[in-house]
Amino acid sequence: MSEPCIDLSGVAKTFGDTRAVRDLNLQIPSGSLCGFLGPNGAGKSTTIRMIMSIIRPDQGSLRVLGGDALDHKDRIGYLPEERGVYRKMKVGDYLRYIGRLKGVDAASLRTLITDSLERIGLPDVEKKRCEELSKGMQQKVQFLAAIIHKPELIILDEPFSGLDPVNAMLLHDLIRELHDEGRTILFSTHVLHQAERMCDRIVMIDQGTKVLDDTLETIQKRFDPRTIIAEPLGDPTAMGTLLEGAPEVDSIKIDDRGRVHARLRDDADADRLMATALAGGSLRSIERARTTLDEVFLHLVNRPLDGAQTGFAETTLV
Amino acid sequence: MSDRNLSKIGIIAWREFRHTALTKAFLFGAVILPIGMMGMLLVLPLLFASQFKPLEGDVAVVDSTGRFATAFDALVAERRDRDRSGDAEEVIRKLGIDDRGGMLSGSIAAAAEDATFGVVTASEFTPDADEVIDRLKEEARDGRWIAVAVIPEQLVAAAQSEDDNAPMIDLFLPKETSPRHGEEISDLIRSTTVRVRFASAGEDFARVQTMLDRPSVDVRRLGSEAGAESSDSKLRMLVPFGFMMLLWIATFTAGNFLLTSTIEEKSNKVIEVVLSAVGPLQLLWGKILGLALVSLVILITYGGLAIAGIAALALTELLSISVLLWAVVFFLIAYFTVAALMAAIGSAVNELSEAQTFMAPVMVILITPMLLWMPIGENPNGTLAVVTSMLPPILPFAMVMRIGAATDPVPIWQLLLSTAIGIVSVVGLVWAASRIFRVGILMQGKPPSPLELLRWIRQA
Repeated sequence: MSEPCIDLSGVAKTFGDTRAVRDLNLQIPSGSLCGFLGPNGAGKSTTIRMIMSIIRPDQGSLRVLGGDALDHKDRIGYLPEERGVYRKMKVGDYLRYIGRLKGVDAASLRTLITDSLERIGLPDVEKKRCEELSKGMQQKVQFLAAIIHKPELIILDEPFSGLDPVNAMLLHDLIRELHDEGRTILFSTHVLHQAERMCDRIVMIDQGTKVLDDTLETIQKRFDPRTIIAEPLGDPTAMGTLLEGAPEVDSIKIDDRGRVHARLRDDADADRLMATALAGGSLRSIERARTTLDEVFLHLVNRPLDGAQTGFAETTLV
Repeated sequence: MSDRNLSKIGIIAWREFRHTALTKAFLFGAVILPIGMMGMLLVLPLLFASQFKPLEGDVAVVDSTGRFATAFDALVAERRDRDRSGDAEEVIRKLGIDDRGGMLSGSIAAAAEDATFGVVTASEFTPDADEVIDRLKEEARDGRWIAVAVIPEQLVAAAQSEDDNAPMIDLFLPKETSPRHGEEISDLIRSTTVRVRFASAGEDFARVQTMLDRPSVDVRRLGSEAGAESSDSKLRMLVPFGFMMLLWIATFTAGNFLLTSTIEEKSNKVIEVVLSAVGPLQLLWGKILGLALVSLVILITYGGLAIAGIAALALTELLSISVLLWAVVFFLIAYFTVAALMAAIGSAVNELSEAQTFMAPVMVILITPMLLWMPIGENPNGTLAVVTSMLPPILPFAMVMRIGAATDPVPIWQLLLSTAIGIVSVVGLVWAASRIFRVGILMQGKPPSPLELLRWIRQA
């Protein structure tokens, strides 16, 4: 297996009395699109700043692109959470400045800036001062500044915050494109469904500790609720009684919308139970319950949502 | 440091320079304005001179002695001669300006001739009838006279001075007479009155005046070598002050830009973006070097104007190449001292208002040399001057005053020692500033206390 793009081992960081990150081990493989998730204050930005060598860990070792991020700044694109622009600078000058600092030669930057601005839907702003742009436009310019030098590793801290749905979708597409080009992308967010739509790998941290680190596919398997939800057109109690009698069912719950949640026993066949439900009367709908990352996260940190599926049949995949 | 890192420092330095010095506000405020003001100082006197009409015309004098008009005309002739040459030369000599070519006194005299007297004469009338005065006043209204002066008899009598209630001269001027011309006529009349008194007493006024004239003194400074004499100059005291002010303006203007640009990067949150491309030390050095160029532009602008002024006044003996070279050395020490302090303060705070807390003690220390201008200028090799010129961080400001004073050259060992102490202190300050910068630049929230700053220096 090739060396991971980012490799953290036993990393910890404390600010005063606050332990921001505790004993964090993390390996991000090259070419992955990894979501770095956690609630506000979980330690995401601190971890990212340590990855970028902007702050130093108190303990542990940290390798980025096989060395120190400081030595590979030109190969890394970084969009910090606390981001801004030089307000009085023209957009083109700002991108040129950051591009030059990132090692791109002036000649290539000329066309690169014009083309890139066009790609993010801001073709006419090159000569405008940054302060003349709206906040969303500035966000896009900042994103562009992070990737202007076509880095191998892109680290985005909360890239979607403050963007409207249209621009969020544009950014989503751009990130996918960059990933398709083979770049490794790590982005943090506390909007979990965003990550669910994009990432092939998820790392979750809470209170500075890693609580989940796996591929999305594995997570979905691991946190499969193994529950069938049937919504009968008739009496839900009758349907509940029917399903409770089935050998595949472990327990039954009827929610306030009249839907019957039938939890499967281990190794039970879900399809057979669905067939039983369909045979038992007319249904408005029947589905296998899906786990959202929100639910996984809340389960992992022991903070269940009201009414959410909490009793995961957490499968240990060997 | 690799070429790549150096080139990043260069890119940062160029951005700092470009966005500070190549702006309309800077060009106007720091370059065009001082040049313009200097230009105005040169142009304004000429402008005023062009507006001054020489005094011309006939003054009607009513007096009983019958000697007034002759004395008046003689006085006017004398004044005109003096203005052409002597007065200007006297002023120039007193200022200690070496006007060997006579260019300066010539032009002053030319301007003076244009400006003061044209043909001014006096016509005499005897106060034999009351209506004389009324008639003359009427004629003055019609433009026949530029003034009508009535001299009471007691005023020209030889022994009137004891009398406290001496009458006054009545002087009537047409209402269009300019205040300046009024003053001139009044002065001529009063001076003539004194001359007439001398004449009445049978004394030779010219002889008395010559006897009363205080001789002038030509002061020359003896240099350490025989024959190395230099003329003394009142301007000599101003040179050290000028040197220090130049240093102050150049370093503090650029230092202030450094402070605000660092705070701006922090408050704009652009700092982390920049730090993802360069290290904090590269950023610090880029900023310091970029603004050093800004400081240099200011120094060259103001210094150039000052040198041009000194050259125009033919005072170049006050400056020498070695003095200027040493001034540049101490400028660099002063700039890096101020820049390190400003960068440290800028990185530690979030807003300009928070910076004031830290600026106050820095300013109190750095303003000390300004307060010591007189004693240092007066005694540039005295204990106070020597000690302050060895004391960081104020040493460059004190030393340029000593160099500028130049009554006797500053001993070379003192210059070298001061430079060495200055370099060591600059290295120490930049080192401490870089440690504070490293920690402070990403710090948000409450600004640190001075004790915390010390902890940052130890920890970073």
